[in-house]
Amino acid sequence: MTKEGEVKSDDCEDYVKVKVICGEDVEKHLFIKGSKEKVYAGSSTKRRTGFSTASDHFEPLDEFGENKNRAPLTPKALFAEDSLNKSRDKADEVRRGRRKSVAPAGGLQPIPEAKEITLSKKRAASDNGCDTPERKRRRNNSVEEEPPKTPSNRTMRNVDMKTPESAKQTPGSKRRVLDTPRLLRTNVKKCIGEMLCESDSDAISEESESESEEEVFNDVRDSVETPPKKEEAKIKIKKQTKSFSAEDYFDAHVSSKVITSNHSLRKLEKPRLDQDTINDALQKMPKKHEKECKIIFKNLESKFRRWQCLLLEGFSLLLYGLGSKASLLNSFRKLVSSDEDDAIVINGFFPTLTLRDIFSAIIRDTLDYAVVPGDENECCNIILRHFNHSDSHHLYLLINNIDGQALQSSKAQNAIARISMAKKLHLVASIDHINAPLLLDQCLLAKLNLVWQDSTTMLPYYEETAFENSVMVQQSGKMVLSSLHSVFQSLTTNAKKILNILMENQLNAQEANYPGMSFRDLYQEAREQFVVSSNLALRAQLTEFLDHKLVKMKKGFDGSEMLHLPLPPAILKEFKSTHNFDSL
Amino acid sequence: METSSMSKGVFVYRGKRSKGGRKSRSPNKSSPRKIRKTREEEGLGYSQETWYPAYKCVLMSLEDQVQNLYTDMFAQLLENVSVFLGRTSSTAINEIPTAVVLTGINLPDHAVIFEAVEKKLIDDISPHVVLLSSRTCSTARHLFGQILNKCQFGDSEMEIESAEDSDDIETPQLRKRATKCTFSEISLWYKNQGSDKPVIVVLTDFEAFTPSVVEDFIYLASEYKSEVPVALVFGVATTETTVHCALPHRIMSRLAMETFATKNSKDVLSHLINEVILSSKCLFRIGGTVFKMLTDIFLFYDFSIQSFLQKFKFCMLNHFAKRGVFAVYCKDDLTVDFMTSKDVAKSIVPKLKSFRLFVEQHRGQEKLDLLTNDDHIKETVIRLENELLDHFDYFLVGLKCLHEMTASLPQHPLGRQVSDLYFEAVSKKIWEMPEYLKCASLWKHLSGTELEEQLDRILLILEGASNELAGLNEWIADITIVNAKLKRIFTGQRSASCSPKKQNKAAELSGLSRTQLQQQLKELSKSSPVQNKFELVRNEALELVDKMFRSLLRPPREMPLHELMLFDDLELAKKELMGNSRLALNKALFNPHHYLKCKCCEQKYEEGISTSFPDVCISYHLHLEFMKHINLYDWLQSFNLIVERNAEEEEDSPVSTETQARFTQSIADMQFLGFIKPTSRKADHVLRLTWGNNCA
Repeated sequence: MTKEGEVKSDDCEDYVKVKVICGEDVEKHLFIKGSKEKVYAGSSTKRRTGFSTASDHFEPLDEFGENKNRAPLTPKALFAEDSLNKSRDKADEVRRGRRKSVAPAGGLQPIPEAKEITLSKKRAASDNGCDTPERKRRRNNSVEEEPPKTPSNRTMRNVDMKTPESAKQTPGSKRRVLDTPRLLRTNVKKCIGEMLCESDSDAISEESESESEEEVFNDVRDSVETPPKKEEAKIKIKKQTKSFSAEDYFDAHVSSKVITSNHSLRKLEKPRLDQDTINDALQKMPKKHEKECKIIFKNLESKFRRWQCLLLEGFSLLLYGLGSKASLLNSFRKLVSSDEDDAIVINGFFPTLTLRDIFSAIIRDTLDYAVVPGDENECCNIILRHFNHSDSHHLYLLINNIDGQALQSSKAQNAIARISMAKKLHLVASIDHINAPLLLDQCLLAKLNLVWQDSTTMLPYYEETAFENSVMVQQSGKMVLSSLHSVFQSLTTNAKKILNILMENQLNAQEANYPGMSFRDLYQEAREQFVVSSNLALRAQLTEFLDHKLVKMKKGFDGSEMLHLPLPPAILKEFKSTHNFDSL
Repeated sequence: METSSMSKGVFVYRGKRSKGGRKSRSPNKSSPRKIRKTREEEGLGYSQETWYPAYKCVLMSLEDQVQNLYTDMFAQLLENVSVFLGRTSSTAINEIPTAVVLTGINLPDHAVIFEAVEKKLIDDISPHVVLLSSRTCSTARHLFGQILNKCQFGDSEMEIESAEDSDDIETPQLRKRATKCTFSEISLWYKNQGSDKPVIVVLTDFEAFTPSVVEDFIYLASEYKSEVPVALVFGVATTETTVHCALPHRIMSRLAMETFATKNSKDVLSHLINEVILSSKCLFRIGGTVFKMLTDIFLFYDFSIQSFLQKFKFCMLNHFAKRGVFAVYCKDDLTVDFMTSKDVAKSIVPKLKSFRLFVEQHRGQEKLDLLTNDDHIKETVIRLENELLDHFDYFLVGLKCLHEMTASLPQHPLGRQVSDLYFEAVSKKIWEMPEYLKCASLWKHLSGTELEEQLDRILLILEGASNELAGLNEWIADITIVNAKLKRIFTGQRSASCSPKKQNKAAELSGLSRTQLQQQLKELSKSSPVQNKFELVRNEALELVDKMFRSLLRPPREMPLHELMLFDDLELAKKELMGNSRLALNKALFNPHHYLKCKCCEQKYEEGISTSFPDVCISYHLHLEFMKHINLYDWLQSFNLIVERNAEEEEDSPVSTETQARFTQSIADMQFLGFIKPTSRKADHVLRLTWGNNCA
């Protein structure tokens, strides 16, 4: 049995040759490499519906990988069985009003001409096993947990584990690596479709299938968008399987361990790109949907008058939807900031933004106060007093990402909501985070007096993500290095020496998992160099490092304090080379 | 872009006026700027529209009515609080008089209540009333500081004047603040100003205060009681026990507490609906579905009258903006009168579905006239609009009568409130609903006295409205007659207790043979049971009432031109008042065609992911297939496969830098949107933050 997630490169070259016999004289060769699941896909329809048919008996074969080399024989038999079952199933499904069928199933339909389809090719030794994790988990479950396959058992599993998507995929030990399940299905379907064009015997059934799929999707949207209409039972059943439901949460958080492959980005030429490379590459690329995005943008701009009307009537606007709204707000800003009125644009995604920045922008820069009071309440009061006055000018406060990191605290939210109550201060805010509405409680909502506006722009979030420490972006460490420099400048000689000891120790360490330097070792070393005279003096120095986050302290295995610099070695080296530590 | 920077997050754009013209903005000064019109008067597009003044006028009258209503509703409470504090603060007791005002959980409305409380207390008891919220009183020192500031410098108005004294200062000054914040300072100030009125401290949100701060304050206040008389008002949103739980006995024993409850906000709303929104005084009529949505938000979400009114205002604004000049209707001066026939014809005939239906009902010359003759159209429109307006008033009266009849029925088939009736009746024929039929069958079980009472009440309602609505007199007359009949029966019945008829029948039956008796009994069973006098009159009364309802409660929504009067755009209201950002986000990611409307992404459902999707949508689709952990490398490979799909698949192409850059950006987007977050569980893995798998 092939173990999932582990690479077995020698197995990768196999093709599964399948002979399909449909009718008397028609023979068909399908070369489907490495994935019997495609062959079995027809039977998976049944699994999803929870029926147990004859084809279920063959399932253990596909779950136990060692059968794969005997494939030409077994699947053939299976196929014969399957094509019979298929028609039965179809009848069943139609009867039940569940006409939905799976794309690869097309391969099982009787096709008059024999044809060879090479669906996929050689598999590179390195990149097998791009199985999606849930598929693996499921495979494991099916192998380990439920050897006896009884109909009831099958049904149970379908209910518990299978999401409709995955149910189409019969567990197969050998999958073509790079395929996503849907893509594969699509490919198979395409090929089949071509053949069907030649023999349009089955064109109709194909069509009806795609139609039914479409219908399902409409249902999905319906079920989310509008309260469920009273329709036939079939749709209801489908909805249960398709739309998000509370059950999905428990499926996703089952206690069993989620198994993913052990691949890591190190397999790539460049594991992580830095921000500049990404920007360059993206600049060069042709932009998708540029025209459509412009149309969307124009449409949104045409709503500006209404927006302004709503703002002047005392409502605040909350813009939501996919896409960066920074340019939209900027464009709105151009409309509203006139000779008379002020506008302030705030980027909530800016990492070091504080509430005080906003207050000082309003109070100092638009109200011309010399001093901004330290107390936030006082600030709010001043702003409210000014902008509630009938003779005041208007101020438009445009906040990109009111759900940004800096503004998430309830203090900030409350303060913004409070000043938005002023008659002449108008708030337009945007949200992007999927859970952003959770920030707003009933008090905030009442103060903000929101009107929600769907302003999906579909523009990528270039600006917003420039600050975010994305998982895929390489941390160049430039920022860290420069901050290290500036802190270092202000240190005393002795402190510099202590830092040097730590750094050398860290650089000299060969271990991959450097635990840090223990406090005792450091003390010893420092004493030898006549840097510190007492334990306490060293501690005092370290406190300064710890406060500046130059050094991190951890408890070691034996309970001792381990100190290390939270920087990658490359940066440390660079830093060391710029400063002459020997002269200290 | 102008608003992007790596070094700052706030960008200020100032109007030209502010350069050097600072002084003029000091609000109380006379300056040329003061002549400057406000934005609304200047007319910024929408405010120049003809409907705007009408909207403002309707809004103002609505706000006035709400204000009056509030004053009425809180009058009793304010009086009680003020009497209590006035009485106790004058007597020399050791405890601090404390009024606990139970305000209810509708937090947004509290500001209004406490404003009224403050005003009342200043008028009745003492000028020294300090409103404190927990926001500003994190420590006892802050609390004393707040009290001192309020007492010494008063409110903002005083501050502005003091700033004006120092005229040559270029920039506005911050308010002077008390530096020493102790109770002895307060006592000093109290001595200096030399009045004997108590200082009343109102803690608006008691629950949010730190108990120790309140404890300290109460302790000190009771110690200083001889020097500074203090009275307290606690605003408590939950129950009185909160105070007992928060404060220990030694502090509680220094308080003389009395509890006052405000009106239930649900009652306030039903009062508001009955008196203001569903009265003929309110010139904006809201459709049933939207109205139901607003009350549902109120009942199931926040119980806040203020936000209810704001949402109502939103509906009003949208209705006026959409219908423009036609929304402006008063009985006396129909705006349509001022319009040329051509304009009316142009704007009404093609737009309104109900008018088109109305035209369809006619035949021949009349129909032709309604379509082509502008003058005729105008006349008809004016006639119809008048009819509609009149009918709506009758409708409201009918609704109130029906409410009288249904409110006391068991199980309340038609709801308890007038608004419940309104939701349905405005757009449907209510007498065809099964709930109404159920009510009608229940009425048949009413006792004589009950029926009589209800008829009396209906008569009261009708008579109250009959001054303005002449059409009601007919009904009044009819009902009075029936009512009189009913009364006569009751007075008559007491004398003749048993009907002689029955006795006769019994006598007839006694002398018969069995077969004859059988025959006789059969005949008797066939003939319907004889109704007594009361039943006859009751049926007559019920029939009359039913007839009246059918006439008065003709649904306005089914009348021509109803669009001009009723705001019934549920979709808009739902979308903009409730919002559904998650749905929009998921929809855009799942099916970008919905927004992009491009050919390339169209109808790709069955094929799953299209190469033409935006990158972030591809990533989203792929991530739906994973469980809670996602291997970035695998994700990238899948992404690469989709993106490079059109290229020949002969070789497993290594991931190009461009693809990797695109993928990286899309991952960053996903992270920004909150779908994934990095995890340290396993190298190069991310955690999926949503669940569910909606792709098929």
